[in-house]
Amino acid sequence: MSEMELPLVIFTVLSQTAVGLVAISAIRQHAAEGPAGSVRPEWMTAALLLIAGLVASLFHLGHPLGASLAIKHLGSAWLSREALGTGVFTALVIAGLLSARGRVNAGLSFAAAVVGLIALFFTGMTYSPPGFPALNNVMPFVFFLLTAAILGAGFASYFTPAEKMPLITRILTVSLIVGLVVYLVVPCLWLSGGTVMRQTGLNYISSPLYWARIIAGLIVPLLAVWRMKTVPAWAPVLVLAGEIMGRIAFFSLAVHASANMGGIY
Amino acid sequence: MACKNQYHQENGVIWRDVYELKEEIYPHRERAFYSLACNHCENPTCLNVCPVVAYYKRDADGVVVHEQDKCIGCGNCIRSCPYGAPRYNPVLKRAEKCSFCWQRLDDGRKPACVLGCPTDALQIVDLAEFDEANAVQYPAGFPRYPALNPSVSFRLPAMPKMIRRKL
Amino acid sequence: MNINKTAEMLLTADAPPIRVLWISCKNVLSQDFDRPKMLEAFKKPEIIVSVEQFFTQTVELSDIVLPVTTLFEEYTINASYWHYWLSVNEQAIKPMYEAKSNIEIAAALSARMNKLKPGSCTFPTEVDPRQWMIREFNQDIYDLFGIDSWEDLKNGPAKAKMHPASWHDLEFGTPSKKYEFRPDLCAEHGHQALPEFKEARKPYDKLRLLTPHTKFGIHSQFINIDWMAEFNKKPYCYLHPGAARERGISDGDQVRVFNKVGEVELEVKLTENVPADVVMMYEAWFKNNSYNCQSVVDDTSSDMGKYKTGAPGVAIHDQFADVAKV
Repeated sequence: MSEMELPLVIFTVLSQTAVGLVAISAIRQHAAEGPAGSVRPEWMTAALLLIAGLVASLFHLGHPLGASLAIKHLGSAWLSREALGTGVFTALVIAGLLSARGRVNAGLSFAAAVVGLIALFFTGMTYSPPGFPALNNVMPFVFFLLTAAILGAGFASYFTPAEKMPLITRILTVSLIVGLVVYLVVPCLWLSGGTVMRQTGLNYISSPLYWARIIAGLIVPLLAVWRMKTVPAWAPVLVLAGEIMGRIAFFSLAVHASANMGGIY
Repeated sequence: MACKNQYHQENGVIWRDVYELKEEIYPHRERAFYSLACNHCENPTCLNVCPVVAYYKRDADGVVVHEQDKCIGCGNCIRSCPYGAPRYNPVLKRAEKCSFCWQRLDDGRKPACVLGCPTDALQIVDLAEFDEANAVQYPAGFPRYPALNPSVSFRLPAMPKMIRRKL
Repeated sequence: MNINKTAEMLLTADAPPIRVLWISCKNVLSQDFDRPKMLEAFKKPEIIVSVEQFFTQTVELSDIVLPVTTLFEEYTINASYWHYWLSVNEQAIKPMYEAKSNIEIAAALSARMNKLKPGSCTFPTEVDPRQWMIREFNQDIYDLFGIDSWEDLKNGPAKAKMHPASWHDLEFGTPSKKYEFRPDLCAEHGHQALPEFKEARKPYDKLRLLTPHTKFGIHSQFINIDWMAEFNKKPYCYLHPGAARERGISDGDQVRVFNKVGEVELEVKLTENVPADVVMMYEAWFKNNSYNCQSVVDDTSSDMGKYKTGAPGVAIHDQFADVAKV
C-alpha cells in the first residue's frame, strides 16, 4: 500500500465510526424509552473522531493547503460532495455537542444522522471508480455502511446505560453477522468476474490481512457479544483494529483495470 | 520514448506506455503491442471526479487537458481512470497525464508520439469522419468502458505466418 | 593489431609488449568481446588512461581518467549510424573545469611525447578544434551532401545524396557492377574466387547464443539512461518452451547462461519466437546490473571482414551456451 492511502484508511474508518455513533445515539436517545446515556461525551468522541479523520485526510493530499478547494466540483465530483457532506456533518455534530443538555435535540440528532449517512453515501461513491472493476459498484457504500454500523454500535456501548445495552448488543450482533456474510461472500463473487475482478478476489482470499480481519474483527467479537449477551469493553477496540485492517485491504488489494492491459479482460 | 524525450517526465512517470499483447490474444510474445496513453474520452472520468476542476475538455478537438497548477494531488483521477492515464508526479505531488501535445497541435505540429513512431502505428484521426470498417474501439486487451467512450480506434494486428526449418 | 581481439592483443603482443593503454571514444569493458579475458588483459599494462565523459566500467579500471568535453563544449561534426544527416556542432560554452576535446588531449599527448623523444609521435602538437573540424571536409563530402561550404551547415543539417537501399539502381557495388559468381576481389584478399563449402564453427555447447542489438540502445550506449530504463528496466534472455522444459525452467525464472567463456545471470522469457536450439539475449550496459552479453561471447574471428574494416570480424553468430535455473 502506498503512503498516499494510509491517511484515507484513517479518514474513512474514523469518519464512518462517527456517522455510526451519531446515528445510533439519535436512535438510542429518541427512538427508545429510558435514559439517554452519556450523550455529551459520545458526541464529543464523534467530533474528535471526525476532526482526527479530517486532519488525517489532509495528509493524503499532495498539497494539503489546497484542501478547501476540494468542494469546487459539486456538479460532478463525488469527492467534492463527500468533502462538503463530511464538513456539514462535522458542523452538525459540533452544534449538537455544544447544545447538548443531557440529550441532543431530536431534530438536530436526526438531522446530523441523516447528513452523516448522506456523506457516507458520497464517500461510497467516491471510492467506487471505474478504475477498480471490483469496486465500481455499490459495494464500497455497503462496506462503509457496515463500518458505521459495527464501529458505531461498538463505540456507542461505552456511552450506553445498562438499560439500553440489549439494544446496542442487538445492533452490534446483527451488524457483525451481516458484515461477516458480506465480507466472506463478496471476494468469492469477485472470483467469477473478469480477469481484474477475479485477481482482486484472489488477492483477498490469499491475503493474511483479510483473514486476520475476518477472525479478529468479526468472528471473535461476534462470539464474545453472542455469549456474553453484552458488549465487553475490549470488543470495540478489536473491532476497530479489524476495520482498519479491512480498510487497508480495501485500498491495497483491489487491482486496477489498467493492470491487465494487453491481456484478456 | 518520443514522449519521454519530449517532456522528460520524472522517473517513474510515464504518459504513454507500450503494452505487449499477451499470448492469449496474439500467439507470439513481444510481437504485437498497444501503444497507449490518455484516450481523451468523450466523457472523461478524470475530469468528472476531479474535486478542484483541474481538467477541461477542449471544444475544438476534444483534447482533455490537465492544468497541473490547479491540482492538489488527491489521486482521485489516478484511481478513476481505468486506462491508467493520469500518473502521480512524486516530486510535484500532483497528477499529470498525456496532453496530446496540445501546444504542438495549436502550432500545427503533430504530437511527439505520432511524429516519432517509425511504423506509423499512431495516427491522429477525426473520429467524426473516420470510417474504417475493420477498425474497432475495444480490441481484446483494451478495457471496455462505454460510459467513458474513449476516443480511440484500433486496427487489429494480422496473424503472422511462421516459417521455420525443421530441427 | 586486430581491433576485434583487443583483449587477446593486450595479452599476447610482445614485439613490443603493450605497456600503456590509452582509451578514447570507447567503453572497452562494455563493448568488446570476451569480457572475462578483457578483465585479465586490463591487469597487464603498467598504466591505463581513459578519456571519457562518463563513469563507465572501463573508467572504473583505469589509473588516470581525463575528462573530455561534451558536445556543448566543442566544435565537431555530427554524423550517425542512424541516418544520413550531417550537421555541424557549434561550441555553446567554454569547456567546463579541466575538460578538453579529444583532439586537444591527443595534441597535448603528442607534444609531451615529442618533448621526451623528438619524432616519437606524428600527431600534430597544436590543434585548434574548430580548424580541425573544418579540415574534415573536402570536395567529395561537399558533393555527397550537396553543399558548397561547411558553413552551409550552420543553416541546418544536410542529408547525404545516397539511396537508402543497395541495388536500387540495379547495380551491385562490385567492380563489374554485376553479381559476380567468381569475384577476383575475393581471390585477391585471401579467399576463394569461386565459393566453396566451408565447415561452420563446431557447436561447443548445447544452444546457439544470439546477442543482437536492442532497440533501446546502440551497443552499450543509452540503455543505462534513466528515462530509457523506464521502458527496459533489466535484461532478459529468450528461450523456447521446449528447451526450458528439458531444463526444468519456468517463465520468469532467474537463470544462468554459461559457456566456456563465462556466465551471466538474468531472467528468462519463454517464447516460440526463438527456435528450440537457441538462447537469445540483447546487448547491455544496465545501471546497477552487471549483466553483459560479452561475458559469454568469445573473440573467435569470422572468415571475412578484413577487406572492409582492416580486421576480420568476430563470429558472433556462431556462439554457443547452455542455460540452467539458478
